[in-house]
Order: sequence, then C-alpha cells, then structure tokens
Amino acid sequence: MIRLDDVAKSFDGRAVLDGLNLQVDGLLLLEGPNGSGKTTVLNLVLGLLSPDAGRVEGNRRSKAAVFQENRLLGHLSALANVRVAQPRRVSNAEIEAELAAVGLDEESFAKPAAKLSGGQQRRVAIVRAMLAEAEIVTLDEPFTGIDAESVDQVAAYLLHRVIGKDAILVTHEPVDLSRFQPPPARFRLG
Amino acid sequence: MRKARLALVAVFWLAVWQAVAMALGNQLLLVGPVEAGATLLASLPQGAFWAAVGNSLLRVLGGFLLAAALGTALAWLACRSDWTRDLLSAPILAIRSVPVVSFIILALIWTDSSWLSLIVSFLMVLPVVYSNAVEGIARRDRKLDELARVFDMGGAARWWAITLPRMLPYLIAACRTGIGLAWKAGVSAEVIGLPSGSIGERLYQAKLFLSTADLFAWTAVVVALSFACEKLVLAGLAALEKSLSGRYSRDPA
Repeated sequence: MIRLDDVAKSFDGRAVLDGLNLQVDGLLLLEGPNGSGKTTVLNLVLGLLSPDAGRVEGNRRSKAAVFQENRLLGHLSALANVRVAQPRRVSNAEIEAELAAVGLDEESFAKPAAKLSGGQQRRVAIVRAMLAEAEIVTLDEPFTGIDAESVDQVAAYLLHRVIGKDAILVTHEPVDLSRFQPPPARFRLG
Repeated sequence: MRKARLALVAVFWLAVWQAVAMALGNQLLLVGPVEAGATLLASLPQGAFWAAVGNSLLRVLGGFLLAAALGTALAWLACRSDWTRDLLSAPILAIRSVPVVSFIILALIWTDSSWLSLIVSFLMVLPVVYSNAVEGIARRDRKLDELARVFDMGGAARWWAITLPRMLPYLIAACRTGIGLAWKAGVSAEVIGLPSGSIGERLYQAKLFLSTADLFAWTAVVVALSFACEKLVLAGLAALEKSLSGRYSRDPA
C-alpha cells in the first residue's frame, strides 16, 4: 500500500497539492481537471519529486511507469527499448509476445523506436512498464496516441497486468473498468 | 559525379602549384608537385622513411587515443558531480590556454624527447574531447534520466543506452578537430625536440639542408597520415554507433 499523508507541493509559489491524503491499495483511478496535480502525484509516488510538506510512504519498492511522454530511446529497436529497462533477463520471444499482445505488428519489433508511429511507440512504452513486473506502476494517460478501436485491447492488457500491484491510472479515455475485479478505487483531485 | 568533380579540382590546384613553381624557377623557394612527388617516391623504399612514419604515427595516435579516452571519462565524471566539474575546469582551461610551445619546453625538461609528440598531442586533444563530451552529456534528455531512475537501470545500461548515444555526435566532432590538432602540434613538437627517427626530425633536416622538396614531401606525408587517422577513428566511431543500435536486441545468453 502507498500512502500520501498531508502532502503539499508547490511550483514557483503556486500550490498544486495542499494537504493531500491518499491511499493506493491495488488499482486507483486518479481523476481531475488539467493542472489539478495528477502528474505531480505520480511523480511523488515514483520518487521523482519530494513533497514540500507531508509524507509519501510505501513507495520504496520496485517501480515502473508509463510516462506522459513515451520516453523511448530512439536509436534502439522496440524490442531493445523493452529489454533495456528490465531488471531481469527476458527472452526475445517473451518480449515479442507482449508486443504482439498490445497489437504491435511483427515488422515493428526490430525497427528503431524513432521510426515508429506515435501509437506504436506508446505500445512499446506500455509493454516496457508491464514486463518490468514492478510492485508499483503509474500509468499517465497510457492510451494517448492509440487508435480508438485498439484502446479496449490495450486497456484489457494493462488491467490484466496490474493485478496484484499498487497502480495509479490517469486517463481521460472512457475505459471499461468493469472487467477489473475488485473494481478500482477512484480519487478526484481539484 | 562528385568524385570526378573533386578529382578535377585537385588536378586544377596541382596544376596551379606546378605553374607557380615553374614560373618562380627557384627550387629553394618553391618546388612543384612533380618534384615533391618524385622526392617522396624516392624515399618510399627506404627503411628509415617507414621508421620515421611509424614512430610519429605511434606517438601522435597514441596521444590522441589517450586524450580521447581520458577526456570522455573525465567528462562523465564531471557530469556526475558539480564538485568534479569545478575541480576539472581550472586544469582544462590551463591546458587550453597555455601556448603549445610552453608545454613542449616543459615536456623536454621533464622527460626525454621520445615522448614529446605523445605528450603534446595528448594535451592538445584532451580539452577538445572533454569539452565536447561534457556538452553532449549536458544536452541529454533529462527525462531519460528519470526513466532510468524509475526502472532502476544499472550504471552500464545507463551508459550504453542513454549517455553514450547522446555524447557520440559530440565525440565525433571532437575527434574530427582533435586528430588534425594532434598531428599539427605533435609534429611541431618533434621539430623542436628532435626525437630521433621521427617525421619532425626529417622536417628539421629539410630546413637545415634547405631541401624544399623534402619539406613538401614530408608535409604531404603528415597530411596523408592525418587524413588516414581521421578516417580510421571516424570509422571506429561509426562502428560503435552501429553497435549501440544493435545492443539489447540479442537474446540474453
């Protein structure tokens, strides 16, 4: 479980979070308008930011993330981008099966990430995070760039993969979460 | 088409050079490419010629490679800590600013002349590689550092996948500049220090005996060696760049 106790965070004197109390136990759907601090919460959980006040507990475990941007290494292939971030040895067959599961076509596996389309890059970023088998996962708008017909397929993959982990999902896409048991908690910022 | 054009340009300038030499008619002032070429060809079968080429090549290239390796390593250290960067800034600035001749004299005081061109080419190249490498590392995408932190990527993976690919274009630019500098400064040092069996010694002898043909022949040798070294180093870096792209694509053993 991750706990944020009375957390405050400001940027350039503007308070983004003030006295935030939040628990993450399983999957949490984090909602809120633009600028409400959703990405800040994710960065606090990932340890990329420190709170100005309050405490973040339970986040000193293995982590993986689908960031708002893909953050792929453009010179490496899709397959290599997944492998380079893995803490364990993963075979090509395993990576390829995961990439195929999110709808990436076979010809794209060996292509440099810089030459993939936005949607293909997003899929690689998702597989990279899911295959890491981290205990904490943050998903910041994971469906950005993915065509509407494929969102359900990718969402099913994601939701299946985050079972048993503490995960925070931020999305504006209308994702069908009914298949996820137990139903994810929701928290609204702002 | 471009190759043909470049060949024509080369022929044109060689013809101009030959015409000017013929117009002057004084082989002490200027020899043409024909005479310089003939002198060079006459030297090729001599063992002493190849010994001089080998000695100078080994030292200048050695100095360059040492500087490239150390400059890259120091840049990496400098980018890991502000303390290291500040600590290194003074010696790097000093090496960059001190006249090369001061280093040559100092090196002659400290050691014998056989190491001279290695030391001088090393000192000329080190600040160029260091500064470019620091620039390359500093301009890397910080978001990739965050990625590495979150996924707890090891030092080796960070180096091979994030730092080195970002630094490589800057290293290539540094090597292009550095190899020419190494040869210019290294051979100048040899002319002053006169290590036996070196290109610098042969150039000095050309001056001593007022042999302009030898001067041009050895100058052509230095230019050719510098060009060949540049091609060799750049080919090595291109191979490294290619290997970086293929890294992490193979199945783990």
